[in-house]
Amino acid sequence: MAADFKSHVLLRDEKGLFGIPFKRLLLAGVGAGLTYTLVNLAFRGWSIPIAVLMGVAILVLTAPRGGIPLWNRLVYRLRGWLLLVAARSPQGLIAQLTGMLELPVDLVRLDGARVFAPPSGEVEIDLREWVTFAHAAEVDGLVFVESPLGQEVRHG
Amino acid sequence: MDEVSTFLIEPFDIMLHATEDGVQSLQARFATWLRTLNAPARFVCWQMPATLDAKINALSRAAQATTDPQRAQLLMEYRRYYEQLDDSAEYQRALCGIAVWSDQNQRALAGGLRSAFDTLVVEGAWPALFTGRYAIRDAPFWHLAPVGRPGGRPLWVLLNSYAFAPATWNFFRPLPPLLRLNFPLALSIDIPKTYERNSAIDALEGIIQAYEVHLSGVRGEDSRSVQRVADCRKALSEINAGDALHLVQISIAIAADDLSTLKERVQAVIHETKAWFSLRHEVGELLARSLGYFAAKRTKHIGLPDTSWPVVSRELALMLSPLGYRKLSATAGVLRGEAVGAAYPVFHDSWRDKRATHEIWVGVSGFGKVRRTAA
Repeated sequence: MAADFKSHVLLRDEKGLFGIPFKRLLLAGVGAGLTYTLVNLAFRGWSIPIAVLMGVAILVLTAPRGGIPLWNRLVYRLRGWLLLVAARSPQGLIAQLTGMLELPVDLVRLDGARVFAPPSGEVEIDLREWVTFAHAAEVDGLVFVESPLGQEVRHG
Repeated sequence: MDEVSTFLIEPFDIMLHATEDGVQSLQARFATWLRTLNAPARFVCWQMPATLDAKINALSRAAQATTDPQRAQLLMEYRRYYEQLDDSAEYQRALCGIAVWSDQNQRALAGGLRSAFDTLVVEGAWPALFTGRYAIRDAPFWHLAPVGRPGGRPLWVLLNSYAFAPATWNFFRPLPPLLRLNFPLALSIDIPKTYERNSAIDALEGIIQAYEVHLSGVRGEDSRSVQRVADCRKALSEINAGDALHLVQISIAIAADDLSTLKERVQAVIHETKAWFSLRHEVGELLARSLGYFAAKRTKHIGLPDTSWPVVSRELALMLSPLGYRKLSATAGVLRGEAVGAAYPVFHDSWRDKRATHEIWVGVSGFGKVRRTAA
């Protein structure tokens, strides 16, 4: 009558350092390395501190908050804020920006009749279920009888 | 593309199955249906405020219509009793629904559900979580508020699951205590994907192999990886025993009349479920999108970040436990007793189809069967 729930059996989450999974450390390392390479071309003296900052930023922004990486959650929060501002002042600058970004402004104002509308085709009758109406191994079509217990008369 | 079929399910009283064998067979029956699932599906339970008003009004009409003064007096006594019950309780009505995205015939699906859940299943559109126009608000916390005159319409907050703790689930915990919190809420169990048996086995074997390579090279203890391998092996053995592997996400919509009550209720739900699964309070765009979990909308069209969790059929069967909590059902018929923790009156109309009926009342000794039947 009971079941013991398991960990996420489809997810690899190998141990890293200081409680940070290995894949996040790897991503931060690769990100910092790339930053160092690119910044080093333009600002030789600043490349190491900027690369370190980038590595730390990647570590912080990829930390999960509510099952979603922090950067993703911040993006959704920012999009939500943009949508709210756009809905409050439809002629404003933010509204034009949301238009350019094609953000779904209609999500701010929800109509229960639309959001919870029954799926189309709900009341349609699927005629496939009537295939077995005819006698098995006989031609499809209506079967008429002369009397309740009489022999069947076929038409068409 | 597969069409969605929506069904409404009348919850039953799980206390009818409250023996070790009873709940075991219930879990097996639910799991058997889930094993055959090869399409996305969604189970939703709505718990909405309800009153005995319909019953009280019916009694008033009957008392006015009768010419027998003794009957009229008896009806008025009944009416007063129901009014007392109604005043001293905050009744909720529970209704369940299932949506299946499949090209199977609707009636065949309904028949399968009926035999699996052993309760009334009808094809029908789902009720709306709210009516009228609503807007997103970000202060003092993200919620949905009615636009214009509230007219009794509540505020809503949506929570989505993102992690499941290694804990024991059964038909009595953790979901039924949520329904016993006794405030309006809706619970959605989304099943966006059921793995085909061979691909589930391949996926799990791949994970085991990867972890074994990792463990062979790691120095020191990595208990999480060791546990993950053990979990994968257990899931594999359950799949080889006939279970299917499903992806699941739980969503909960909570309603309240004011913001402070809403905040309290959100904290109560998060606290109540914390030992079993973690819930995320949705913000911004995610809040509006999450409403799709309470409508017949495909998961991929809802467009939330994937925080689903893999479970096998026998685990998923326990998530359908709200089916066993009917709370205030129909009020037609005669009051027969109380159900669900003695908090809800049970009515039964044995004269529904105008045929003579024999009733058998089954229950544990001392719970008042003889008195009720004789009354």
